[in-house]
Amino acid sequence: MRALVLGGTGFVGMNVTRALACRGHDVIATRRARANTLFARKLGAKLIVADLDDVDSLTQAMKGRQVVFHCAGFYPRYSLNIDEQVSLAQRTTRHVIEAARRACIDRLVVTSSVATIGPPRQGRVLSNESDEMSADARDSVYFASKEAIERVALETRDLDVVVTCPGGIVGELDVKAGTGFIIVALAHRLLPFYVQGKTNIVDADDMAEGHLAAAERGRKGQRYILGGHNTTIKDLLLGIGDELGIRFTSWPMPLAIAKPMATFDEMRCAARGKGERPFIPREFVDIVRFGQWVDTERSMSELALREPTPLHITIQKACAWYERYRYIPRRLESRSVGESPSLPRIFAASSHSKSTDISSESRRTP
Amino acid sequence: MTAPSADILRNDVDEIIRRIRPDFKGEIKVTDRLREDIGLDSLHAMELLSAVTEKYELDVDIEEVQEVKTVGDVVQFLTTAMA
Repeated sequence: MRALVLGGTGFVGMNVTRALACRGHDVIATRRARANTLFARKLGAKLIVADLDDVDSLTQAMKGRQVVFHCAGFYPRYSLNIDEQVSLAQRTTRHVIEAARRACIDRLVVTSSVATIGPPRQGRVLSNESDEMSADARDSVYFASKEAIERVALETRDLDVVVTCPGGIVGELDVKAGTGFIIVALAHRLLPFYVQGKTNIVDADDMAEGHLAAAERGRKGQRYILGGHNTTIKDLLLGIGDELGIRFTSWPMPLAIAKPMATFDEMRCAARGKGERPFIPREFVDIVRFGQWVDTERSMSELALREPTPLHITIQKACAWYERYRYIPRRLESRSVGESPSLPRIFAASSHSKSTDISSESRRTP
Repeated sequence: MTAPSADILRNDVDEIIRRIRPDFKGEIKVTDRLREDIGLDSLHAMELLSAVTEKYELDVDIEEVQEVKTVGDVVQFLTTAMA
């Protein structure tokens, strides 16, 4: 396919670009004028400048392309000014859709998030694509923005649009350390506490393959969960600690304390005006507050997805990447990727997302 | 491309640093450390290295780029890469 990846220097965009290039597709990726392109330049795709606030530049970039992957998902550093941020998310998504119309592309694949998948209804344990995000989650900038993007995309009737909802993505090319922030923080022993809750972790390579599958086999107007493993934050941190050879001693902080602390911390960073990363990102707290275990049965079946990469291998790959590029200190004795950790029980407790595979131990996890 | 002089490289590096850190008003010295003295975090430092290597169309080893610690290191890195 002739593909265009919007957000070609971001974590999702780079992984999708790499997957497309590896499969021999003709791929072009977009970048912002001042983006860090050190990694994106190595992926085998031409980089062109396009701006989400400039429909003409987007249209120009899309011309002659069959499939556009909108991976330039809105990702605010701070969870402040919710109305402004949601409006920005809606506006930029509308620009992408308008450009797609003008360029007459065949299909638009929009990256959303598993954040838009709400609590399970009808007595189910796992959430699926039919579960709407709960209204409570709209007080979170991250959740509200993702929901806004998804609504604009799925309400578009005159274009062939498919939406993907990846879980927490862990893997290579995470230049800004998104979900992988917890790996970097733990490696530097900067995680004195954590907030316990449910999460779903997907390998970056699986997420990228899921995007290609959505482009090839997804149904128009549908959203697809790209999930990996249903687990808990504590089990995830135990697994990371095990991989890094660090004893996990972080303290579980109650949500009632974590939310106001995160909000205060973000306001402090925003007031300093240096774009500092908060010590407790509110977005992380929200992800735990509203985190769901998800059922990937539909996406596995309709998109013919492969089985998810084992979680310990995903963690190993991510740690190796962060180590290689000095995000985390070099370990004296590195394990090779694929070798089992010394505490496999951690991952035995966190099965992948199929509803039949949730172990009783994982459900019991506090 | 003809290799620019060290002075030109130094000016380019200064200009990009000021673009990335517009609130940095002091003099930029060759011995300044990117993080401690200029206040570039690791992502800013990568943005700087991305910009300078892109300007001079250098295909660099990212791990090698990350060895640079000071303004002088950046200039030296560019000089060596273009030699």
